Amino acid sequence: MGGDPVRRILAIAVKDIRIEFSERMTWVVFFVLPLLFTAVLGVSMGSAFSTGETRIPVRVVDEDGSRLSRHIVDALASSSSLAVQSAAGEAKVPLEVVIPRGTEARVLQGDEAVVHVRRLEKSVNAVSAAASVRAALTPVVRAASVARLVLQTAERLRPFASPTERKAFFYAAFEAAYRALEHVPVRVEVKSVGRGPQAAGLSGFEQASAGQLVTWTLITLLGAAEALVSERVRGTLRRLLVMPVSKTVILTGKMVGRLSLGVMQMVILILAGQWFFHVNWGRSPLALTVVALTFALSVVALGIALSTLVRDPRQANGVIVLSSLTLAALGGAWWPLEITPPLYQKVAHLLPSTWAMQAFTVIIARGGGVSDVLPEIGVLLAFTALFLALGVWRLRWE
Amino acid sequence: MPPIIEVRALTKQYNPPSGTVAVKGISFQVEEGEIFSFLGPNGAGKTTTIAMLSGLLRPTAGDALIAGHSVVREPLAVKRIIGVVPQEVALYDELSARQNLLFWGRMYGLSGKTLRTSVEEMLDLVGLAERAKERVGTFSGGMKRRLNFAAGLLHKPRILFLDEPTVGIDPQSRRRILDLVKELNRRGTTIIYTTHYMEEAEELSHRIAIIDHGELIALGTLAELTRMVGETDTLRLHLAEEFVDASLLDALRAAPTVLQASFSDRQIILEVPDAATALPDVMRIVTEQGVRVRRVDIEEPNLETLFLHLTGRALRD
Amino acid sequence: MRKVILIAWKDLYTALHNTSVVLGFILTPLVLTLVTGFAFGRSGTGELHAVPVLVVNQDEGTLGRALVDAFHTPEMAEVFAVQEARDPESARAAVEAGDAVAAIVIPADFTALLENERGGEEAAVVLYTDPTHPIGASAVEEALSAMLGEMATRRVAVEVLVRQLTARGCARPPESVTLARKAVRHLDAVHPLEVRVEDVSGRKATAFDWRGYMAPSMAVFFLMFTVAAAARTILSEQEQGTLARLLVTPSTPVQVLGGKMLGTFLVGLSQMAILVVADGLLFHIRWGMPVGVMLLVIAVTAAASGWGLLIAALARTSAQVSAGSTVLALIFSIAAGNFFPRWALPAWLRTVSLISPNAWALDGFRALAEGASVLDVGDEALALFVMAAVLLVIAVALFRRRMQEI
Repeated sequence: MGGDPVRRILAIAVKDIRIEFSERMTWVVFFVLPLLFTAVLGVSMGSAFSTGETRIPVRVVDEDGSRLSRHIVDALASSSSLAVQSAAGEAKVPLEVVIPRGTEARVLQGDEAVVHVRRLEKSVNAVSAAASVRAALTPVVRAASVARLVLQTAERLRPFASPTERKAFFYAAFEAAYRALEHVPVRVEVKSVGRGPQAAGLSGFEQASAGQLVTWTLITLLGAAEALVSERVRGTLRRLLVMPVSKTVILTGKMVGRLSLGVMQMVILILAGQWFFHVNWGRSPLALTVVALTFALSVVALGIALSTLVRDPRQANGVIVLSSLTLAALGGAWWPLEITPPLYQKVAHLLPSTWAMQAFTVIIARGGGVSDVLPEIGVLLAFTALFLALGVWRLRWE
Repeated sequence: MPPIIEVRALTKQYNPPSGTVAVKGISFQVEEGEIFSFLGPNGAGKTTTIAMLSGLLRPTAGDALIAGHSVVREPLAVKRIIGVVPQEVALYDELSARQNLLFWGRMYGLSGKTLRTSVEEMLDLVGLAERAKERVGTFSGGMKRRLNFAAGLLHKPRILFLDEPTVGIDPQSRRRILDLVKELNRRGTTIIYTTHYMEEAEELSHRIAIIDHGELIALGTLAELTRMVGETDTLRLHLAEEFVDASLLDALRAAPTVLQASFSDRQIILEVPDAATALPDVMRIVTEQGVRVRRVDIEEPNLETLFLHLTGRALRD
Repeated sequence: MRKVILIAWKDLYTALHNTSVVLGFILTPLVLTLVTGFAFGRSGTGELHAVPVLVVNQDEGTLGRALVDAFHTPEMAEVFAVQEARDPESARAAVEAGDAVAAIVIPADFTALLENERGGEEAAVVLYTDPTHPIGASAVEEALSAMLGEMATRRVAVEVLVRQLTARGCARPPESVTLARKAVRHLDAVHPLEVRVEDVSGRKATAFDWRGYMAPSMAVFFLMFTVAAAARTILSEQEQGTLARLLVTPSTPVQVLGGKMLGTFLVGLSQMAILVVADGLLFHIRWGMPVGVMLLVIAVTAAASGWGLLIAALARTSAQVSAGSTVLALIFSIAAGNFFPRWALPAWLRTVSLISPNAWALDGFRALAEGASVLDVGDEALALFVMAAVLLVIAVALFRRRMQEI
């Protein structure tokens, strides 16, 4: 009746997986919801950050009716991302551009003049349109600055005979500057160093996918924190301990069970992401697999370490919710680490989730392979060893 | 034949050096094929002793040899030949009866056909074959205990440890379990059975060990033990009251016709040399205190009397 | 009535001592708000810091140097950490290795082209970017474009100035050129036209405040879980037998149910209240006008309780309540905008999500945070109360039927 330990480990793992799925709703939380979240976030992020092909309608109210204001309106009309409507239009628009009365006069006078760009609603279109307006009017603003400088300089040398002459001189300079600014001999050429197809930029789904993958599998994998607690509460732990089964086998069995759950979830999310959302997970399936596995290992190990702190299933549940969401948020799964303070980034690098997100980003955005993410893999393995050591040291079996 | 279990000065102290000593150097032997009971009140150390013998707890001192294997040095070898039916039901509610047994069987190292056959045999033995596919969570308390029982037998152990298997279950299920124990023993299994129910110990056991406060205070067959009590009688007064004053017990003990007095479960239990002479004194003392007696039983010496005789306390607290 | 309050009070007490509730649904939103604050700073908008950028200046003239210097101004230095590199290949390699977010390569004929000495030819300043740092890279791109634009403007200014002065007869090259170059140095002081982006209320538009968004958002998200945990006790008590015990005491089923319903509501209310107060004290996040906030908190708790109680009324076991409410809470939250601002979601999703308490609550809380008064959130509060009423009526009817089966 020896029986090899591997069989026992698998038996424990299978038993745990069966128990997990004995409640039917688990399927929904496990697979459907992560995909739903990715879908919604992907669609929203996609529309929020990309410029669509359709022109966004904006209303232009020209209260000034001057030559300058006509230039402004023309500049807006020639923008490929805007559809200019006159003030008379009744349709609801997200953005309104108002050129107040006296703008030309103020500019000629040398005072400051403001063109009001009003976001009429809180929407993605309004934000996008405002950015487009700014871009379209930049040459106008620059030309106006040039013209004002020319006017000022000329005026100091020899004053103008009449306001008409002054105005004419201004516009001669303005239009010359405007034309010249359209032909800049030096432009910026952006070259992404990525090797993948995403070098041009990630789709909304791609941005959302890695973060959601990390978030949901964190919740599943940190379930390891419940490992012995629920067995203890049911009384089955005692029974396991009187069996001809070593503690190592029991612990390994529970870890393998958790790990399998997490890996199953990851595989389904990655495949579904590819099929439904056309997420391109980079050029190296090997790198993706290795990172996913080491990440899963490190989180299960963390779960075991956390399990030494909890005494009953309720505590375990609370700890799991708290840790998984905090690790996800801090790790860059919900917002990019780029925009966070240096201290935040330092703290974040103490967490396995951060390193996993970093590796995923390199794989997806830069088309990296295993050699590109070796540091991250190494760190994740180190985390695994550390957490496991801590967990095993402090684990209470009673 | 050497005894199948040899316990030598087995001791357990929690948090040495100053913590509670739950088991204080117990020594005894168990012959192969016998039913050996541990009898004692709650907290006496029965469960702790079983825990040490089954490898769940490490003894602080002493050792036990089970079929020649030391529980201290060879715990895995011991675990392979013993079966344990724990006091609390240790089953997975979300899985079916069969799934539970298959799992535990695998933990014992069984596999394939051997495993499946054994599982079906056990389900039959405990009368749960028809409910094999149902989730354990839907079972009644008695059914769970029967399945709990079966789970300890899958690998056909030579020795079976049963820790209070009939606590809190209906009389039918209890009857079934007692019959099962006898049947197993008939087939050759050595049984170690802990309980605080005197009737069970009396019905089942070849030999009984009485334990109190971690110490073995008596050991022998039923006949040997009751003879220790001697020629005394037991008076059992069933009261209407739930509580009595300690002074009443003191007064009773002080009476010349009373050897020992104790109170539990609305009963005053008295050990007296002769029931007829003691009864008037007892009734006088009791009614003087205004306590109402609803019924009086006169009993032959039994294990409870023995316990009372040895410890001054009742078996049931 | 007293019985009802007693039962409710007992439920409130046990819920607030339930580690799962406290850790998972009260502490977690606080920690998440803290983390958000940490990430986005007091203003709630993220900022870039010391983005590592490399510059390779191959320019034979002076303007290339000027461009590099422009990156070393104090304002630029806050955002970009610019270093010079030897050659384009090593710079590109550094970006690939992740040591720099972007590398700028200024071509040899940069000055020449800008000073229009090559007439008609064009060249490019190459910007190598790291796709794993899109925000930093686009910030560099923006800054670079802006600088190039300014340089171009300066050049154009000189050109136009010279031509206009000549045309007017004020001066002639080469004096006019010298004059022009001198004048152009004051170009920065001239700002005749400002394009000002304003939001709906007429104030200058600010970037999105993630901190202010997260606080009420997380509170509402976890509210559904808290409320479900309380409603779940209706079934778990039944399973443990304590419900039957309650019913054989001299209390009517109505009192018991009423007590549990009130208890559910109070638990949710406590969670929200704790979070509102904690946000204010610990993080200095103001949810808005107190009266408005209170009204909306009560309304959303009522509506959420309605959903929790409905699930409890439909479920057969306490495990079903947990699972069902988890699924519902998650669906509501993602659809209504708990994880991504509501106004950025597709329009149809915004409409569909109105079935959830989250949607109305988030709209209301956003308005309050932007300074709305109680009256402005009247619609949302009303919708929530109506939702609560409808759900409670259905739940009670289902419970009544169940009570008869006990």
